[in-house]
Parts: sequence; structure tokens; C-alpha cells
Amino acid sequence: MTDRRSERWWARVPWTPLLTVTVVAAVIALLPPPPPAPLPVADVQPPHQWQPGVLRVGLDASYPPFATRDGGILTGHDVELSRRLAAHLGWRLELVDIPFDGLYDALRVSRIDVIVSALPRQEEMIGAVIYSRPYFEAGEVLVVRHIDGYGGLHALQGRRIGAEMGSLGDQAARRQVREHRFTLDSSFTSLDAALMALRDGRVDAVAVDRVTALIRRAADPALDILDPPLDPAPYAIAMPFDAPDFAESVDRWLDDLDRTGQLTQLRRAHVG
Amino acid sequence: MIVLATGHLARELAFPRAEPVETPRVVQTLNPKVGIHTRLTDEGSTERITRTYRMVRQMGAAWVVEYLPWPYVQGGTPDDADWRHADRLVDRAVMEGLRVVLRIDSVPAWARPPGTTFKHLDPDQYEAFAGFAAAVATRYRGRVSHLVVWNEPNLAYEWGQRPVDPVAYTRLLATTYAAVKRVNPDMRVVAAGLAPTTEPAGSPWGLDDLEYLRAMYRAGAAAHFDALAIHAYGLTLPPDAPADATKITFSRALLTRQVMEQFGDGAKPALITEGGWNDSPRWTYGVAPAARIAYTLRAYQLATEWPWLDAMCLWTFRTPRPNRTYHDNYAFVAPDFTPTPLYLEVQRAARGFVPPEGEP
Repeated sequence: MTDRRSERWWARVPWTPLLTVTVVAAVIALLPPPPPAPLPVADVQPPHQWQPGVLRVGLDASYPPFATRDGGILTGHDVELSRRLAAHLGWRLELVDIPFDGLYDALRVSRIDVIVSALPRQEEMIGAVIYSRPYFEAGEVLVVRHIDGYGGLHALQGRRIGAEMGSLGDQAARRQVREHRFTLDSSFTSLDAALMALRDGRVDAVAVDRVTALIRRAADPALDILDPPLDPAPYAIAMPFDAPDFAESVDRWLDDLDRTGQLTQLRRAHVG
Repeated sequence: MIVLATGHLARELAFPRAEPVETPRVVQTLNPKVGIHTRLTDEGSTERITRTYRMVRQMGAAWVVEYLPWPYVQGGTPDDADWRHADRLVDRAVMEGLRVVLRIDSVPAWARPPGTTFKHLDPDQYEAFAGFAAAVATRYRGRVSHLVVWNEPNLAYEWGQRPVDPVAYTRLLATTYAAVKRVNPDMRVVAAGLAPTTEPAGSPWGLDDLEYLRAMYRAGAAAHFDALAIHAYGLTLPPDAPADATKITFSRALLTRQVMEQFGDGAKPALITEGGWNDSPRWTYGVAPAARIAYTLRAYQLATEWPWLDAMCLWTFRTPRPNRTYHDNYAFVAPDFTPTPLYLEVQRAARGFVPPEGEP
């Protein structure tokens, strides 16, 4: 006998697909609108005190490989980064060589527009300047032999760490001795002596600043750099506090460089 | 029990115990000219301030230079003054037996136009600055021996990002000297240490320190200071590298001394209030750590051979936090108080031995 309810109209409605569509439509309607496509940096209005069409970058040219004078010409990682930023903006680049001590003041009185100068973030300056996202990780690291296959700091527990006497690597390693149960030997009077001890197996790792580590690794593929750093020190671009839109667009530009591998290429070309 | 407690109370009332009095310590050193510039401006902890000055004394240093920014005392209004931090610094340094040299500069916001840097001091505020200097001289009478007026005014960024002006600086110096001497004739007023530089006249960044000093003398500065501060950085050259007016060397201090003598001021002493070497592997002007140790020891020895020099205070003892720039490589002691090998070698040379850990 036929069930007469099955002939009622609601029995003929395809509820499952209808409900599915309804729920999906409701979810889509409730979702926040997609963010607008990021503006290219060039479309962002710079602060009024800046010279139109010119990007004045302050840097201390006594700090290779980030900035140095080679035959009178400014060159280095941060010099190239500045060039690319200016090119992206479509502005002329003006590099202003200032001793490190004077960089923040020069930014404050608008003698320069931004600082790109191996500049670590300083917590006490936040509020006086805006820092970009990091574009380079400096700090102190451990260098090891590639063949030893250490996967990270944890693998060096109880091992012997070498360092050049009195160096910042020495200081960073001392701070970590208790936590990682290293044995520290900082009797080496030069980094070369410490690295020789690493090659000979007299130490299992050498504490050194990351820039030096990258340079040495580029020259000797038998070396590896362990992550995370013993003592991180990310470099950032400093911008005036009243330029939040510009700062945001610089962050997006740096994100783009990072995503497309250009930051890594820049590092390899100038550091290692 | 009640009888015992009552008896105890009666005895305490009859024979009150004196609070223990802290006795100033004495610096033990073979070289009484060894000094160091501390940087405790932003160190808030009394324990760390005390520990810093104790380590300075234990290193065998008898002199200490410290920076006292005017805004840190009178930052709010001209009528307010908060001396607490400055008092702590002076008290603890004196208790460790140190001779204290205070450098005063910087400008509170109320004393300069909006949008200027904290090194911007206009002539209409020279009297206010001098008033602060006089207040320092009064407050620390008998405990601070020297007051350095400003810092490196021959650099544009130390002069408020303006063209440098030795005549204006001389006016500031004269105004301050007069105000200090009115309240404390025994306070030694020290003309600012100039940044060693070869910047030519007309440079927007500064002026050659030797030229600047000559200009000060021509403006009549000699009558308005008791001693000259000198900044003596060696960069990549050893302390005995010959002096050369076209180069920055440690021995540029001798050329500074020559300028003093040329202007008839040879009887006046000088103090090196900043200087030394840097062992950053990244900085163009850094040297290897072992070289830095050798150069520093030789520099302190040279101080004993220069009779016109009262003290050699190198830069810098310790910073409260790492800067994570090459500036960290000037320090003698890490932010966590770990002494560097440089500190230990200076201690060995200044005291003739390395004291045991835990020395009071």
C-alpha cells in the first residue's frame, strides 16, 4: 500500500541539497569581506615632511657586509635593500652616511626618512619609531660540522662548545651553559683557532655571531649553523612614528620579498 | 617569658643599639689614574647600581664618569626635581670609594622648541641649564669632584642637529661656570670632551675637534673651565701610534694637549672621560679581542706617563641591556655582570693580582 505522506509536497523537496546550499550561503554571507588587495607601496602617501620623490635612507657605512665604502662607493646588503625599496616606490634614492649614534636623532628631525642600517629592534625606541618586520636575523649562533648531523641545540647537551675569548659568542654561550649543560672552552684567542678545534673534533660547536657564521659557511660547506640562535637579534627598518601607513606597506613589501626568496638571495649575495 | 621579654625591652630602651653605619670602602690600586665611564642612567635597580660600582672598585679603578641627563631630574617642569636616581648613583659610588665625575647635558622638553631633539639648547635656556648645574654642585658638595659641561658639542647631533658653534658653546660654558662657582667654588668645572673627528669647517655633521678647541679658546673659554675632558678612541691603531692631525688615534690626546699649551693653558689638567677600543668582528674600526686587551692595558700605563692627565676613564663599563650593535663590544662587563677577559686583565694589572671570587 502506498504511503500517502510521501505524496505530500514537502516529501518531494530535496531537503538535503537544499539545506546544504542554504547553510553554505549563510556561512558565506556571514564571512568578513576579503581584505582589499594590498596597495603597492608607491600608492601610499608618505609623511608630509618628506621630499617628494626621494627616499633618504640613513645608514652607518662602517659595518660590512651591511654597509661599507668600497672605493668611495657605498655598497652592502642594506645598501642594496634600500635601492630595491626606492625602486619599488619609484623614487630616487639618497643614502645618508651617519655614525650609528646619530641615526635615530636624524630620523626624528627628518634629516632622513628611514633607517636601514643593521638595526636591531630596541624596545625602548618603540613609540618613538615604527620598526618593520625583520628582514635579517643576526645574533649569536652555534656552528657545527655538517657530518655530525646535530638537529638543534638540544642535541648538544653535555657537549663541548668553543668560543673566541671575550667575544659576544663567548658571552652568549656562557649564559646558556647551565640550561643546555654545555662545557665551554673560551681559551681560543681567535675565531680561526676555535674553528680549527671544531674541525679537529676537540670541540663539538663554536659560538659566534650569525653574520660571521654565514660568511664562514659560504666558504666551507662542511659547516652548518644550528637553529634557533643562542641569542637572537633581528634587524629591521626604522620609520617615523607618524608614518604608520608607509610602515605597513613596507612590511607588505618585505613579506613579498621573503615569500619570493629575494631576501634569501640578497643575504647570499652579500653575506653568505 | 613575660619577665624575659620585659627585661629585653628595658635593656633595648636603656642601651639602644646604633644602626650599623656603612663605611666607605677604599679602592686598592697600583694605578690611581685608572677610571671607567659607567652608564647607569637607565639602570633602575639599586642592587645592580651597587654591584656595578663594587666591580669598578674591584677592578682597581679609582675614578668613575657617569652621565646625569638634565631631563631625568627636571623632566616635568622647571619647578619640579626628582633627585632619587641621581642620589642613588652618587651615594653608591661614594660608598665604594670612587671619585665621581658627573657629565651633565640633554634638555627637558619644556626647555626646547617642539620637534627638536633632546640635545637642542637655545641661548635663552643657558641660564636654566646653569641653574641645574648649580643645583648639582650644591647637592653633591664634597661627594662629586668634577662636573663636565655637555658632551661632544663639535658634532651636529650632539648640538641638537644644528651647525656646531664653538662660540655658543663657550657662552654656555661660561654661564655654567659662573653659576657653579657661586655655590661651590671647589667643584671642578670641566669643558666638554670633543668627539675626535676630522670634519672640515662647513660640514653639516661637525667640526674637527682640534679646530673646535682653538675656536673655543679664541672665544675666551680659558677663563671658564678648570680642566678639559678629552675623548681618546684608538679605532684600529695601538695607543702608541704617532699622533697625526689628519687621523683619529689614541695619541690625538697629545695634540689636544698641545692646543691647550699653545693658548697658554698648560697649567690646567685634563681627564680622559671616554675612549678605548672596540672588538666587534663586524665593525670597520674594530680590533681583535686580544689586541683590545693589549691596547687598553698600555693606555692605562700611558696615563701614568702623562703628568697633565688626572684620570683615564675609558668607555664603557657595562650597559643595562645588550644593544645588539657593535656598541656592545666597548663594554668591560656584560649586561649580566659576567666580566670579560678585558676586565680581568685590567684588574690583574691595576691590582697586581686577581682577587678571589666573592671578594667584598
